[in-house]
Amino acid sequence: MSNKQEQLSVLVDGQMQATDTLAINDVYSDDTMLEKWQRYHVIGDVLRGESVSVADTSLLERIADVLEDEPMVLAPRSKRKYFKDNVVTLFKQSSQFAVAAGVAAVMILGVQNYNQTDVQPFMTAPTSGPQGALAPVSLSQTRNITNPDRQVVVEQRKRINALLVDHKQQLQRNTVSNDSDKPKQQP
Amino acid sequence: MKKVYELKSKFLDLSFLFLILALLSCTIHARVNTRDVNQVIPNTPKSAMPSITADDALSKLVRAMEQTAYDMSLIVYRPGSEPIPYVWRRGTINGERVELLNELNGPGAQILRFGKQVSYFEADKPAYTLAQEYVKGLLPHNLLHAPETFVQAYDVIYVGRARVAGLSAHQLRIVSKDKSRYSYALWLDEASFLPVKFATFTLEGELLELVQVTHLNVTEDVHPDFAKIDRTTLPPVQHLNPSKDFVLKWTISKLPVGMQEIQRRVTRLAITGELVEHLLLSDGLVDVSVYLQPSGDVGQEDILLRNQSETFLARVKDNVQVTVIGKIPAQTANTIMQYIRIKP
Repeated sequence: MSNKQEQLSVLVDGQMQATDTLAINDVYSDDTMLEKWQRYHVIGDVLRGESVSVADTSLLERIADVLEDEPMVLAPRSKRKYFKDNVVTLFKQSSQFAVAAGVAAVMILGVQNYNQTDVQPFMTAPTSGPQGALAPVSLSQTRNITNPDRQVVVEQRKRINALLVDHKQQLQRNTVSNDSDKPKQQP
Repeated sequence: MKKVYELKSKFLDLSFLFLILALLSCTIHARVNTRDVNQVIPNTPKSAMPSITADDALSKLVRAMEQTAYDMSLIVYRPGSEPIPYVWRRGTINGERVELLNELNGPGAQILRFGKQVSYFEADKPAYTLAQEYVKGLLPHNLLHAPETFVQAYDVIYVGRARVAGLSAHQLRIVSKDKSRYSYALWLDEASFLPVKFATFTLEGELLELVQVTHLNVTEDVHPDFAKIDRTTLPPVQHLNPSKDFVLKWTISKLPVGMQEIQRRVTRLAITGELVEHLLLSDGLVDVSVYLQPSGDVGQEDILLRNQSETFLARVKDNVQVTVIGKIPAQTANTIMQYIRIKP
């Protein structure tokens, strides 16, 4: 047995001599010898510093065997997990939707303001015939949005601005030291 | 058969040992190699990685901010808008800390601090002085001066070393414990422990704001310009009415981890004159305002916008407009809004 091993090692190293009795066929027909053959080569590769990906096929085979024997009891559990995941994504979606809705609102605000700045609806005077397809659309749009909401939009902008300014100011002011202040009156 | 098995396992052991040995020798070799490389580059310090923790780095930063005299140029960059250059100087005159923060583009704005008085020079309004301990600068004040105030809300992690503005630097990451706020990365100069780069990232990891030092000059003495300023010409100190502690009829039942109410007040907005109720929240690094006011006849849609790096979220419900403003993700602003409760 050990004699065989030694000979195999010699074979792998490529230092076979005429006196050795081991033949390639002996290795090929014997599973343990084959395994050893593979392992010796891996060791050799590592020692020579070549990059080696050690794929231990026996482990994979064992897992495959176990999986074959495994009864199918995993199903309900995995289903529940799937359901939970689904809930999370739905929730995430809804929060994203909320954000998207908010962005949309800002965009509408922008559009309205944009329209408000160029109020002359007849600036886009129809040039000669052929491009007529586009012109009516832009005309009707300007008419639709202009007047009714403008006051509200201006108010809203003003309020946004006022709140932003107050926030900024408060951040600056709340660091003011109270050394010089009179003692506070507690309510 | 058993014998064969034993032999086999023995051999397995042996071969495993071989493998480990081989790997070890490889890594040692690799290490030796990198050291060689280090020695080739002249500016890299030869010492191995300094053992420094995040806490160490922050406390050294605090000391540096309070003691060092420096003159630095930096830019603030927010994706989508132009970078803004600044000059930022600090030093000590007669035992008093002095500081200048000067915006260099356009009409600019200057903030000048002598000890506990901060003067503001802005283009669109008359200059004024407030009695303040510090300047709210480009980096969060507590990050530079009071790291203990945000440990409830954030984890600070030491990342490693990097090269910033031509200096070798320590990098730290600051991440909120419940992942509900923006995260930050801070780079500190290895020699002076002054900040050289500060980045704010959204929850998705996108850059929101970057403060990048382009030139740092640490000096023995304070910058000579400070001596030229005649302090009698600075605007007189404005005394503000002490803020009263108002009692509000509403509260926020659940706040993000580490966030606290720090101020409640009722005030009129300077621009519109509208009466608002204001609750100021803080987690040490960021401040968040929550405003309540009668909605009037503004639109019913939610408004979400970003002003510089601040999130603005407004929503009208039952004729009340609720607004949340602060450097927090929109989702978090939304969550804060949802937990507003009328006090029983």
